[in-house]
Amino acid sequence: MGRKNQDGVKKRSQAQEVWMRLRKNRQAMLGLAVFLVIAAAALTAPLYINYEEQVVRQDISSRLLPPSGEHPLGTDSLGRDMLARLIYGARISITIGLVTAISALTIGGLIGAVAGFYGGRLDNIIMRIMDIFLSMPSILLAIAVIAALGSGIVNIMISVAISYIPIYARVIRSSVLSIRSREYIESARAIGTGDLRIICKHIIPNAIGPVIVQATLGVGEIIISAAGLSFLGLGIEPPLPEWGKMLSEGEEVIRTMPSQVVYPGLCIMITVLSLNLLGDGLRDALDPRLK
Amino acid sequence: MKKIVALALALALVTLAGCGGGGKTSGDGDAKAVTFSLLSAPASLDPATTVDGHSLMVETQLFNMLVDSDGGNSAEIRPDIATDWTVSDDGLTYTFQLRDDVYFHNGKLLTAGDVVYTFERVMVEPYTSYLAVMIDSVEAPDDTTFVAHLSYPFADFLTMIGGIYFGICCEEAITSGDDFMYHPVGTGPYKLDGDYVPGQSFRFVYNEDYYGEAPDIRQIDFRIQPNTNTAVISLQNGEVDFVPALTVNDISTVEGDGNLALYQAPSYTIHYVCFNKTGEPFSIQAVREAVNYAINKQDLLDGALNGVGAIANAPLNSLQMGYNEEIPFNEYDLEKAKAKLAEAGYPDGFSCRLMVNSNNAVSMKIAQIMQNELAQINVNVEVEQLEKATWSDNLDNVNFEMALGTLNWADTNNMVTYLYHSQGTFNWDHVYSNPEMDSMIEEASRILDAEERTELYQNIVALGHEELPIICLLFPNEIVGANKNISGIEIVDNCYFPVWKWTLNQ
Repeated sequence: MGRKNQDGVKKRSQAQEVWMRLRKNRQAMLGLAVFLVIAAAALTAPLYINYEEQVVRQDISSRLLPPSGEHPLGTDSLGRDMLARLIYGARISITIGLVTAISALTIGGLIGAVAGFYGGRLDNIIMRIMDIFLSMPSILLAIAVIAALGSGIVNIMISVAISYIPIYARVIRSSVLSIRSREYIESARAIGTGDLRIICKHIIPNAIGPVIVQATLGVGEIIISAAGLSFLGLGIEPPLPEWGKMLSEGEEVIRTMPSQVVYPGLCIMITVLSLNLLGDGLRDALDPRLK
Repeated sequence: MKKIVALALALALVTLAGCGGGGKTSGDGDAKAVTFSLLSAPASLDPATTVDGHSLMVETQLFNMLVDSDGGNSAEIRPDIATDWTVSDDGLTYTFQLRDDVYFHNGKLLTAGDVVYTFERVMVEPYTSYLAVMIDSVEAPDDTTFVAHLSYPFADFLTMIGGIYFGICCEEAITSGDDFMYHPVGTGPYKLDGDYVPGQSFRFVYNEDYYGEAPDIRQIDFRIQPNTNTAVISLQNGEVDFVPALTVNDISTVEGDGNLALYQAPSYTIHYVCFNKTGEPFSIQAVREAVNYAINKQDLLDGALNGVGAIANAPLNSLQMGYNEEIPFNEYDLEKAKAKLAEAGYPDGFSCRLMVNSNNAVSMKIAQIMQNELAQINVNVEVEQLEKATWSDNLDNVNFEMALGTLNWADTNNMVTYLYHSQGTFNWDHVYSNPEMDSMIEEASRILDAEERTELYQNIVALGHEELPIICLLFPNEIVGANKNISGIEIVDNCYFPVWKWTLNQ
C-alpha cells in the first residue's frame, strides 16, 4: 500500500521536476516560445485573414509582385498574398504534424506495449512485421497509399503515420521491456491486477518519457515528410496553401524570384527547428542521469 | 581543429567538383563537339520501338529516311536515301529509286531489302503500326528499287515516311540478335560510340561512311539532366551547349546571358480539357459549353505561361493545315456560362473533379486557375493531382470526370484523328461519336489537293468546336537555349534537332 502511495507522489513531482529542469534550458524555452507563437498565429488566422479573399482568390494581373504595403511579402505566381498563404500554411502543417504524430504514437504505442509486455513469440511476430514496415521506403509507401486511396490531406497523414508507427512501437517496446521486470509490476501481478490494467496504469505512464521526446521530434520530422510529399505533387490539393506545395510552385521561378522559395522554406525550417530545440530540451529534462 | 580541417577539405572538394566539366576536347583531339542536354534518358534508340520524345531527338542523329521531310514535319519533300520517286495515277503505288552508295554504321551496303525489312517492321511493331495502316504491302524488285503499295490514297504519305519512325535500319543488325534498342545501326551522319546504357551519358561520333556532306560538328555528347533549373545552370557554366524544352521562367535568364542564345517557336503541343461523357453532367453539351464560357483563356496564358505562347481555338496552331481563324479564341462570358448551366438543368452548379498530371507544371497551373474561374459559376472543382503513370492509366480506363491533357502532333491528320474520331486514341471515352465527323476525317486523309484538304480540316475543327468534346486551351512556345557559338539551330518540332546541319564557331 505504502509503496503505491509513494509511487503516486513521485509521479506528480516528477512532472514538476521535469518542468523545472526544462525551464532552466534556454534553448528549449526559445523553441517552445517560437512554436507557441506560430501555433497561436495559425489558430487565430481566421480572425484577421479572409480565407476566400486573400488565400484562395487569384488575381492573374498582379502575380509575382514584390513586397508592398498591401502585400507585405509580395504575391505568388497566381497573384495571391504570400503572407496570408504562409500563415494559413502553418495551420495545415501543424495539424498534419500533430494529428499524424498522435495517431502514430497511439497505434505504435499500443503495438509496442503489447509486444514488450507479452514477449516471446507474439513479440517476435509483431516486431518482425514492424521491421517489414520499417524496411519500406516511406516515399514509395506514400505513393502506393495515395494511388490506392486517392490524393488528399487525410491520405497524406495516413501514409506518413504508417511509416512512423514502427518507430514508436520500437521505442515503447524497449522501455516496456526494461519496466516489466521491475518490482512494482511484480507486486501488481501478485495482488491479481489484470494485464490491461497493468499495461495502462503502470507500464505506459512509466514508459512515456522517451516517447514524449520522440513524439516532439517526430512532429517536426512529419512536417518535413508531408512537405516533401506535397513538394513531389502527392497529396495536398490546390488551393490549400501547404508549405511544401508552395515550395514546389516557387521552384520554377527560383532563379528569377528566389523569395517564392525562401519564405515557405524558412517557415518549415523555423517550425521544425523550434520543435527540435524543445524535443532536445525535453530529452535532457527527462533523463534521470542528468538530474 | 579537426573540424576546421574537415571543413576546409570539404570546401576544396566542392571547388574541385565545380571546376570539372566544361572541357570540350575529348575524344578526337580537336574535333568539334557539342554537349546536348536531355531531360530524361531515351528509352530506346530503335525508331520502331520508341515511345518518348527524347528517344526521337537522339535517333534523328543516327538514321536516314527514304525522303527528307524535316523529320515528318514538312510537306516539302527532299531526296534522302531515295534519289527519285514516282506515284501512280491512282495514288496507290509509290516507286522509289535508292542510292547505291549508302553504308550502314557496321559497314554493310544498304539495299532495298533493308528498306522492305524496315517498313514491314514498322507495320507490325505495336508503337508504330498505327502510322502504317494505309500501307498494304512493300517490295524490292531489285537492290535499288523499293515499291510501296497503299490500300487507299494517303495525302501525307511522303511527309510521314520522312519521319524518324521510318528510319532505315540494318536488317542484319536486328536479326543477328544484338539488342537493337541499345545497339542501333543506321546510315545517319553520326553513330553510337561505345555502348548505350539507359540513364547514363553517351556519345555519338561522326560516321566516316556517311554518304552526304560531312557535318561541321563531329561529336555529340548527351547528358541526362532531369531538372530544367540544373540544365540552365550547366548551360550558363558552359558544361552543356544545347538544352531543349526550357520553360517560360528560363527565358530571362538565358536572354540575359551574353554567351547564350534563345530560340522560340510556336509548338504543336495542345493543352486541352477532356470530359468523361459516359454520364452527367459532362454528357450534356450545354455543360461543356458553360465550362468553355467560364474559362478566361487569357488568364490561363498569363498565369500558366507568363503570357508566352498562344491561345488555342482548336487543336491546330497557326502553322498547321486546317487552322481556322473564324473559330473564336476566348469566349469568356460568365452570363452566358450561367445561362448554359441553367439550360442544362444545373442552375445551382455542381461539384466535380479535375484530374491533372502533377509532373506537368503548366497543367498544374492551368488546373488551379480553372478551379478559381469555374467557382464563379458555382462549379466546385476538386483538383486531383496524380503522378504521370496513374494519371495516364486513369485516362485509358476513363476513370475521371474532367481531365487536363496534352497532345503533340505537327501532322493535322493525326491531331484530329486522335482527338475527334470516334475511335481516336485520345477520345478516351469514345462516347463522342459523330458519323459525319468520322467520315470527314477519313475523307480528308485521302484527298490529294491541298486546298480542298485545308478546307475540310477547317470544317472538322469547326464541328469539333461546335460539339465541344474537348476544350482547347493553349499552345505553349517551344523554347530552346544554346551556346551562342552554335549557328544553324532552327525549331521545326520539339523532337527534331538535326545537329549535322549546325556549325560551331570556336
